[in-house]
Parts: sequence; structure tokens; C-alpha cells
Amino acid sequence: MGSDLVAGRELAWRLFVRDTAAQYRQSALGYFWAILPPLATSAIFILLNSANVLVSNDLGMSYPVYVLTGTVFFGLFSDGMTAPLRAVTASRSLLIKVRFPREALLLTAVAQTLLGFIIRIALLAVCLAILRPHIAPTAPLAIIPAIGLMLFGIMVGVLLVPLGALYQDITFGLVLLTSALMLVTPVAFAPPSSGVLGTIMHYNPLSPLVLCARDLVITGDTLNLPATLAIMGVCLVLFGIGWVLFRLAVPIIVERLGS
Amino acid sequence: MTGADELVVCRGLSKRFCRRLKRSLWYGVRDIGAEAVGRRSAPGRLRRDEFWALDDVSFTVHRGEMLGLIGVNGSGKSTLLKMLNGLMKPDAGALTLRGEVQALIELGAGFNPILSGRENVRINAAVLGLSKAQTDRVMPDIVEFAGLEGFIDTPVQNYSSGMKARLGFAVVSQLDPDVLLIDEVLSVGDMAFQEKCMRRMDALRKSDKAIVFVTHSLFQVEALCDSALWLEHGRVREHGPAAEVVRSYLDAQEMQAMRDSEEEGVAYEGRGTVATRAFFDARDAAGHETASAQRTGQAMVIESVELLAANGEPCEELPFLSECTIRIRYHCPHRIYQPLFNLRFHQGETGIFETSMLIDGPGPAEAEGSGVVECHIPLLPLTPRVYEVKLFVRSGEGIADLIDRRTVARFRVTDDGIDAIPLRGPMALTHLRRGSPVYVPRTWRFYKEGELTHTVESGYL
Repeated sequence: MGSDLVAGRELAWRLFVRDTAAQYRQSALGYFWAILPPLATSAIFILLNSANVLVSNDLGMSYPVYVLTGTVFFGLFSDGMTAPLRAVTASRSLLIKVRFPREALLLTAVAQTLLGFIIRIALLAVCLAILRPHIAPTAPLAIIPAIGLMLFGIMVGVLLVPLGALYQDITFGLVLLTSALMLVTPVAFAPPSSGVLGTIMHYNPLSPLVLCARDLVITGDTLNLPATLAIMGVCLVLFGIGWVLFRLAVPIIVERLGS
Repeated sequence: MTGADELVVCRGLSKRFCRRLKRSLWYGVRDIGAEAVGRRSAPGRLRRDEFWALDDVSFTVHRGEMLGLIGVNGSGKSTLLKMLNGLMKPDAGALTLRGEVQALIELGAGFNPILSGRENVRINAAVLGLSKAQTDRVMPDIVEFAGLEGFIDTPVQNYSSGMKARLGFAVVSQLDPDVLLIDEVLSVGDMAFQEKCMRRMDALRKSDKAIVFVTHSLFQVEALCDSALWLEHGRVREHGPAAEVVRSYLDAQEMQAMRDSEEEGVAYEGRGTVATRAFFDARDAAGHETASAQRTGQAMVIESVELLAANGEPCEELPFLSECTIRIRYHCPHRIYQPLFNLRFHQGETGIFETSMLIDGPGPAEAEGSGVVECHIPLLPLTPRVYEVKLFVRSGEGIADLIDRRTVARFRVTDDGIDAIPLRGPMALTHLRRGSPVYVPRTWRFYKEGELTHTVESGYL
């Protein structure tokens, strides 16, 4: 597995460049599309909040800052979750015709998530510079939960590849899943202390990561850091399992997808 | 040959596929589940809607050998190639590959239409395992080989399919594996490029590699391959020297064509097969015109027409370049003046040659009652396929038809005796069988500065 990872490095880079270039070349706005979705999502929530549609507890920060940080950090997870299946789909014709280190596809997914990470963090930095909230000295530590969110997303994405490569349902379902997860994660509003939503948010393993990342940047609160590290450990193990499953599944996917 | 020379060894290779997509996907999920717990689901048997795409296929390819895979569409060629390439696992059997394996499968696989040719070459090269430095080094050769100097920075979506194929082959032609798998590469591109590919493949063949080559072009198999494997419904129908397998394959294809044309009620105009006799018998039994059809009130009645082999026995098949005799039994109720017999040899509707007493001159001055006339041909110059003989008879005045033109015999020239001519050319067999129906003995002479340097004899001079 390790040697295939090394062998697939260069190819992964080529595929990454190909997919990225292909994604934006045939569009007028180009790379602007990479930052538009989180901005749009934030704008919608800010609008809803200003109209008092959302009832939020005391956030400890201004609402736009809360939503922006939430959307950006949650975006790391959703990017990671869709990336592996997208990388496999983009290289489908290659996959069924040419033998190459399959790990290259996973590396491509990681590279794409990292590109998203850079874009989102830069976007966040620009927005925070405009909004000028108090930034905690622990802000650089937010890289830990940020990596955790990407790892979480990629882990789920890799586990879904065997099924998702065979059934389109997974691709359709992922869109729905992303929106649903966003509502049960403290992205746009703080977790309610009671009720069904409160319980779901409490047990949602994504919640500590998003909260931790946001707190480290704004309030300096490290309350969620231990839970974050524990979840990251579990994600790492599950990712390993997903990787093995991916390797086993590719020949079967190839024979089922045919020519 | 030692074991180390055996670069590809297949033993009892089998693969099952499912006819229905939904069920196939579900089996896929189950197979992945079974793999995950280290088992195989339903080993060695077929589940519902499944069939054997490959069934118990065994063969070996040695270093320096080129194996041609032939068979109709859906016979399992591409599946076998994918398995050799490690894209799929066999459901049964064992596959051993020695050395580096590279495949040239469907050119332009993975080309992204909106990226330029150069960018796509970089991606394809990376997919095939070339490093960036290696790619940079061979890029000029690739562009030159593909003949795309002016277009390499144009998006691939503006390329013709031939240009894409050329670029795809150019990338792979830079590789140097031990085992090379080739799938239908020469079916695209213009003639000049096909020539280039053929030369490249010939060079590869001579360079101690094991090559497995899938194609529908029997010319290429005969010209390039040492051995051939004929797959039919996933099974090995025949495996052996390329020329022999191609010969059997052509026979079977033709048998099928004859059956099809019979079913469709269309006259078959191709070559003959071992089924020729059965086919003719069936047609005659079905009430088609026969040579011995009696007609009353005519000046002459043809009682029978026989084709005789060199040994004087009646036959419906003749060896290649053999002698033959056509014996006609006739009856004239009245005395007739100078019967002139004419035999015209046809392939389908196309006349090939005739033996005519209108040219050669008359025999007896008159004929009455029963008689026999034979036309002896010392060397029948026809290549292996099916022919028909049409007969018409005129009287000595040369005007009145005593017998209208009619088909009186059908026969097949077989491959027997074909080895008596040298067959040194790269496409000797297929060309002989699919080219012109007439074989003319000849000699080629090459001169340089007035001196004879080479002589090539066709044999049978």
C-alpha cells in the first residue's frame, strides 16, 4: 500500500491539476466559484438572522463571524466527503481501462481537499480582517480541528467509494446529506440545550470539531480539544479501513462498470 | 523454452458476468463485502442471470512471442486482456505474469477534451508510470510520432478521432515493458499512420517481448503474430500457429455467413467451407433447379454434369491448383449439327473465366442419341473458395441456343495443396483467400545497374 502511495504521487498531482483545471477552465468566473458557495451560504444565514427568523443563544461573538467561521470549517468536512468519489468518477474511463496505482485517486482527493482548505482559510482571513472581531492567541491551533474536519470528511468519502462508484444514489444522497449535516452541526446557530435537535447536535461527532475550531480562533476556549483529538484518532482508524476496502473494491468496480 | 521465458501463463482462467445491470451492481456490492471478510462469494458457480464471459482459458506466451487474440464481438477478448492487465481478478484459475506489463487499450483513454494535447500527454504519461523528467525528454518524439506538431497545444476536443488515436499510440510507443497488451490499435488512423504502427509493432516483436494482440483484422494477425488464440463464447476454440488458426476461423466465419444468407434467403456469394456440401444438398432438396432437370421438346437434354478430381472420381471439393474434368452426359432426341459446349466459371454473380468451344472450335460434326463430353483442365487457377459452373450449348451455326445458360455444378477449392506454393508473404493466406479468385503463377525479378539481384518465385511455373 505504501509503495503504491509513493508510485502514485506524480500521477495524483497530474490528475489533480487536470481535474482542477478542467473544473474551472470552461467557466467565465473561473476560480471565483471556489469561494462563492461559502460566501453565499453565509450571506443567506446573515440575512435570515437579521430578519430574526433564527433564534440563537448567546454566541459570544457577532453572528456574521459565527456563521462565517462555521461555514468555512464545515466546508472543509463537506469538501473532504465529496472529494474521493469525485476523483474516482472523474477518472472512471482511466480506471476501467488502464492499470495505475489506485492510491493516486485518493491522493488526488486529498489534494483537492487541501486546495479547498487553502481557499477557505484565505477567504476566512479576508472576512475576519473586514469584520475585525477579537482574535484569540490560540487561533493558529485551529489547524488541528481543521485537519480533523478534512480527515473526517475524506474518511466518510473513502468509505462511500465502493458503494458510490456502483450506485449513483450515493452521489445524489451526498448532496442531501451535506445540507442535513449542516443543520445538525453548530454551523449557523449554537446547539440548543434541549430538544431533539439539541440531542442530535450533542452526539454529532462533527460538533466538537466545528466548535473547537471556532473557539480556538475567536474565544480561545479549548474545551472541545480533547474530544476533537479522540475523534480524529477514530477517523484515522476508519480511514485505514476505508483505504483497504477501496483497494479490494476497485477490481470489482472495474468489472461491474464494464467498458 | 524454459520457465523463465514464459512471461504470461494462464491456467483455467474464468470470469463470470451478469446480464442485468441492477443485479450486476448488487452482485458487485456482495462481492466487495465478501472480499472485505476475505472470502469469495459463490465460487465456481453461476448466480442468477450470470454467464461465463471467459471459461477455462489456458495458454502461455513466451518471450519474443506475439499472440493474436481473435474471435467475434463478445467472445471475451477484451475481458481476457483486462484480466492480463490486472484490471479484474479471475473468478477461477491462475494467472502468472513475469516482468513489467503495459497495455495499449483503447487509445486516448482518459484524454480530457478541454485540455490541450500536451497536457493530456503529460497525464497519460503519468498514468503509464513515466516521471515528469522522462516525459519532458520524450515529449518531442511523441509529438513527432503522432505528427501533431502544429496542434499539440490545441484542446483535444478539436482533434479528430484519428488525431487522438495517433497521440495515444505515440505515448505508449515510448514505453519499454516486458509484456505488452494491445487492443485494436491499428483500426484507427490513416494509412500512413497504420504503416507507422505496423513498423513499430514489428520492431517490438523482434525485441524479445511477449505481446498479446487483440484485433479483428486477420491480416494483422497473420502478418504480425506467431500464434493465435481463437475465443468463442469465452472458451478457447483453437490455439496454435497464427496461420492455421486464422484458416479455421475464416472457415467458421464463412460457414456462419452461409447459414445466415440461407436463413435470409439471399444468395451466398462468398467462399466455400466444409459445410458446402450440406448446404448444397439442403438447397437442392428444397427444390432448386438441378443439372438434371428434364425438359421435353428440346433439341438436347443434359442428363448429368459431374466434376471429376484428378483420380477420376466425382467430387464437390478440389485441392488448390489441381487438375479437374467436367463430364457432361447429354441426350439428343434428334440429330443436331455440331454441338458447341461452353462452361463459364462464376464466383457468385461474377464470371471469372470460361472454357468455350466457340473459341476452341467444334468437335463431332453431328450428334444424336446419348453421348458424353468431358472438358479437362490441367491446372485450375482458382483460389480457395466456392465457385459455380454455368453451361450453355449452341449448335454449329453458333446462333441458336440448344441449352440455355444454367448453373450445372457448384464446387469448392479447398486449402489442400496450398502449401505447395511458398506462402512467404506476410499476409499470404488471408490475401490468397480474400483477394482475387484467380491465381496466376509468376516470377519477380529485381535488377540493379542491369544486374539481376533478386528473384521471387510464386511456384507452379
